Amino acid sequence: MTAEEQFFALYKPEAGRLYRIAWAILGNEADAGDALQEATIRAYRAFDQLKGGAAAFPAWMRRILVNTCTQILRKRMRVIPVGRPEDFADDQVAPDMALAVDSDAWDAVRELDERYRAVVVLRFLNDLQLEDIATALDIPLGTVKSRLHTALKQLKERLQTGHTTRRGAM
Amino acid sequence: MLCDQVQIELDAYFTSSLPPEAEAAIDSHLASCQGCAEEAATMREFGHNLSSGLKHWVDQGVCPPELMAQLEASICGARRQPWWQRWPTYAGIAGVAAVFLVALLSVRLNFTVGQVASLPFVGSLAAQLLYPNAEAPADLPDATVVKVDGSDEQNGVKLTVDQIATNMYTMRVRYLLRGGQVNARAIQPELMATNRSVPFRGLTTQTAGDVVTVTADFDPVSPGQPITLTVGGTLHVTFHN
Ligand SMILES: [Zn+2]
Repeated sequence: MTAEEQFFALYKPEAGRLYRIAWAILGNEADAGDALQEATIRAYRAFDQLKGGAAAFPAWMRRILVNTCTQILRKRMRVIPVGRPEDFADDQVAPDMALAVDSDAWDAVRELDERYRAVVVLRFLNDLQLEDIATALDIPLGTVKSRLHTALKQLKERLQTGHTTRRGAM
Repeated sequence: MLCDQVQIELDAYFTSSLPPEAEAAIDSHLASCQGCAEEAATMREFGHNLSSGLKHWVDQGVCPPELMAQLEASICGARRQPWWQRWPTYAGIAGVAAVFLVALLSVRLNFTVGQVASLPFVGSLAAQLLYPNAEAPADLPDATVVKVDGSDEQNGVKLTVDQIATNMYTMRVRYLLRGGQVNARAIQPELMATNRSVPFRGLTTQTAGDVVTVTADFDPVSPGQPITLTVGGTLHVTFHN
């Protein structure tokens, strides 16, 4: 087996997940494709540094991808003007209401403003610590917390009232 | 502690990433404030469901076949070793240049990258040290290397072809793209030699700053023919190998 074949033998079963992770972080499929290509080349070049063998590949590959995506996001966020206030009107949501979160999760998350979507995805999909999200996005820890708080309120409202509007790939 | 403050800290509280005194403050608030205690219980469950919902969505992902083909093409021929490991002589030259560069930098700490790269003393080697991803010279064995200086610019994206290496089996064309949105589609090359399309085999890319260096391999073309490289369908450069 050549290095290329070894790489793709491990890579292909993960490709679908990797694609969606990039999509979730970046918010659209075109950027996800570009990020995945960039991350894949990086990973392939560093393939001989993979420690822990085949079992370690999925987490290693994800880490490279998440780093690539947050780099893109950092650049992009620098040019997006901050127009929306961080604060969100306090919604009174009955706490004992059933939470209809499952396959609708992504449909609700993708509707969020980019700044909110990114922290939600990094926290709840990629299980990053809040400090690591702050570093990855180059924003203060307090901002991560307040964005997360606001985003969760918005999501809870959307998912409970079922107001998720479907939108095609951007 | 105010209820609003407590609620903003809840996620950090759940993930045990608060300092002990902040955690204790939240503990005591939750013990005495029913509203926040209920909010905390809801948010914990909501976060858990959100997490499993997103992970479930990711698990069902399929990589589009055309993207998969593109990924394989971009890996095809990609070399894993950095060039200085494969080119021992370069390591020596780069080392000497690095010493000069450090000396220069220590004298004038306010250099910009562009200034250093343009210093005649260190020249392009300094650029390679500053842009460690910069592509190594074509390393096809027994290749004839031709320097080319052709470029085309459209919509703020500039294509420059700078080098062609040809041996018995392969023609390796190196080109640089500067500016604009450079994605997989935008770097895709097509090569025509005397009105005949030259079969494309694969490419590698390296990014340094806003410059993407692409090394694309094609079937070899016999010398002396005019060759036209089209990149991303819009940028054209004609040269001779
Ligand atoms: Zn309270």
